[in-house]
Amino acid sequence: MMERHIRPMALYLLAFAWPWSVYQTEPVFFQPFFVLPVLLLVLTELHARLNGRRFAAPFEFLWPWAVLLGAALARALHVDGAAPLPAACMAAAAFAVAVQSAREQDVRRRCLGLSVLAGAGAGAVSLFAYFRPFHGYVFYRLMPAAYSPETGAVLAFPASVPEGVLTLAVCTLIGLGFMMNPGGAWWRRAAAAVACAVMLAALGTVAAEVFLRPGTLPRVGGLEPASALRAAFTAWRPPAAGTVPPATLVAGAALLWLMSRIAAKGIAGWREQDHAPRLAGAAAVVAGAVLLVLLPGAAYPGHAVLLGLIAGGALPRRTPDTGGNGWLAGVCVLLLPLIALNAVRVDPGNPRDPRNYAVRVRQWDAAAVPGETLRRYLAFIEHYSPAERRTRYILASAWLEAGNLEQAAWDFGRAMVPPTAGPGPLLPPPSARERAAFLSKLRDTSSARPVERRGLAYERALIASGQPELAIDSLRFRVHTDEAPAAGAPAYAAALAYLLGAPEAERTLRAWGASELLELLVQAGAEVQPHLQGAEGPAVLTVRRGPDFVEAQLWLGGGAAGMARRLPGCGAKKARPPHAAGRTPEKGRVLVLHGGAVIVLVALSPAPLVEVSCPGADTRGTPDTVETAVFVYAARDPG
Amino acid sequence: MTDIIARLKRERRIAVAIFVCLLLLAALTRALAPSVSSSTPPRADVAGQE
Repeated sequence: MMERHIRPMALYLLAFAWPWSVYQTEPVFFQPFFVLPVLLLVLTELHARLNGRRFAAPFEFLWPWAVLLGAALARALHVDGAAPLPAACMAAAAFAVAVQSAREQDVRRRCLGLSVLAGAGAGAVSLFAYFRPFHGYVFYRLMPAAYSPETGAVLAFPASVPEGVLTLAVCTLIGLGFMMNPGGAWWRRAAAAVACAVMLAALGTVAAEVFLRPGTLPRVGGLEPASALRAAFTAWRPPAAGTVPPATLVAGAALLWLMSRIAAKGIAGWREQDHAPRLAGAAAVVAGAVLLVLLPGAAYPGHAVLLGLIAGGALPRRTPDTGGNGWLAGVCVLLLPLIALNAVRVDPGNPRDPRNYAVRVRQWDAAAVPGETLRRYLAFIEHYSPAERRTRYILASAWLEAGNLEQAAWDFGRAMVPPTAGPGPLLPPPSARERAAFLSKLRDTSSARPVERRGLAYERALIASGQPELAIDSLRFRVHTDEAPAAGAPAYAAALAYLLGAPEAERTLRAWGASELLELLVQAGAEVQPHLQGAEGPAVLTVRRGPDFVEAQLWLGGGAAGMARRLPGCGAKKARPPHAAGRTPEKGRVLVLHGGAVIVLVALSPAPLVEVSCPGADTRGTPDTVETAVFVYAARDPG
Repeated sequence: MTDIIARLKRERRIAVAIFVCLLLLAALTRALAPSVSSSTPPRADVAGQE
């Protein structure tokens, strides 16, 4: 029973599951699904040993395998203690059972075919995730697992881009072997051709992102394209030899020798009947070895399955004793729901899923990964999942850590806004405890600064988190009392409410004294200017610009307010001053000129056009952060 | 028997050739590429805006 049914079934499951990498994670212990068939195959082999059958893998394969296992053990025990020993053991076990079980030609051919099929499926999912041809629920949430912030390359299924490149490359070469096998059935060759085309297309998207995509390369570290290209390429190289632990060097040498030995067996036997699959297997092993040399961290335990299948095929064949069990390959269909579930859902408790960005950011934080990489990665997450609020919370925490309180409060405010529609977020929004911890840290950092450098970050964050009363109380503590309301209070109150992000607070602030409000505006970084020509009372001009917008607003005394112009895509089009075209602007028009200093044109009826130039509020370039410039214009002197 | 021994020798020669080529490639890439660890800027240099 075990030998006849369980062994081929486990082997087929193993061969079909491994290429899916992240997508085959089981939802309880968050382990790769292929652990189950490997354990089944180990039990089957133990059962066979008890029945007197000897282990068939030759010594030339066994000793490098033992060295690899020993090196992994040495690293785990002595070098850094962080080496993934369970992964190394799993890879060793997967290789051993695959070598032992893949010596029957039919079983081995089906296994390789299933691996190519799974690789093509994973490649197709990657293409869907990359191009996003449909914006329905499923494809919208088809969040790629692997993303390289340095190059912009994206693959859906692997834990890292190099791992996915290795998987797709070796599966393509195996598929080519099926396609060019003259002894194969026509449908098998046609299916292999389609699979190869899909996998090559997925590999092509990675190559295009790394080397060809315009706009990506110049942004890499702010370097010129040529330097960026070189940087993108060299970033994929392995670390210098001096930084690699000796146990890893020994393991690497043993692995390369094992792969050379397996490839040599396939090449030496190329004159045999099924030469195309043999040569394709050898080519896949050599290509895999080259990629492992070039791409650090590309290997994952699943690749040991394919290496074992190819190695088993290079050994002398064993008489088939499993009979016609091709139908067992159909059990792989059982894996499809698990793959589909993992493709659209991220478990917040799964620390191994690279899409669980909260865990990844914590790891990057511990490894001191540059802030630019972090921001690019979080922008990538928001691009695929716009409903994310935790990404903004993480950004706010990073800005707070870096000492940019205004930007921290801005991102915290964005994290508090619930999404309007569409699919839900990958990870839950920040909890009440996390929000309280952020506010507490922001308050401590803000109060440690001199009053004139505090800004309104803490109060903005309080209002964003739904505590406007606390924000008003906090503002009260910061100013000197002024009993009698004076002229200018309405404009100052409206501007301050706007800066706080709470227009509803204007009514409360109007009851405050003008000097109090002016003091708060100055604390918020306002520059006090002479009176605004054409305006009777005091005025406040705010110019806020971010990565994708410019927003200018003029607040006039006596309650009249100017109009705001929100211009998404700053720099995309040129605006000309209306008076230059001989036209009269409408009342209260505020205009932001692209490519230079902000000029606000105000037509105060019946007063003539007023032009206000705002030095320091330059709109040239696109800032990474949101910047706000505030100008306070005093009231006209009655004399 | 002679065929088997000749084939084993051929396999070993091919394996040694592939292995040497892979070692040369590894040595070349390490010699030409800068160290990844030394090229990573400290976080504060990039994240700090003030």
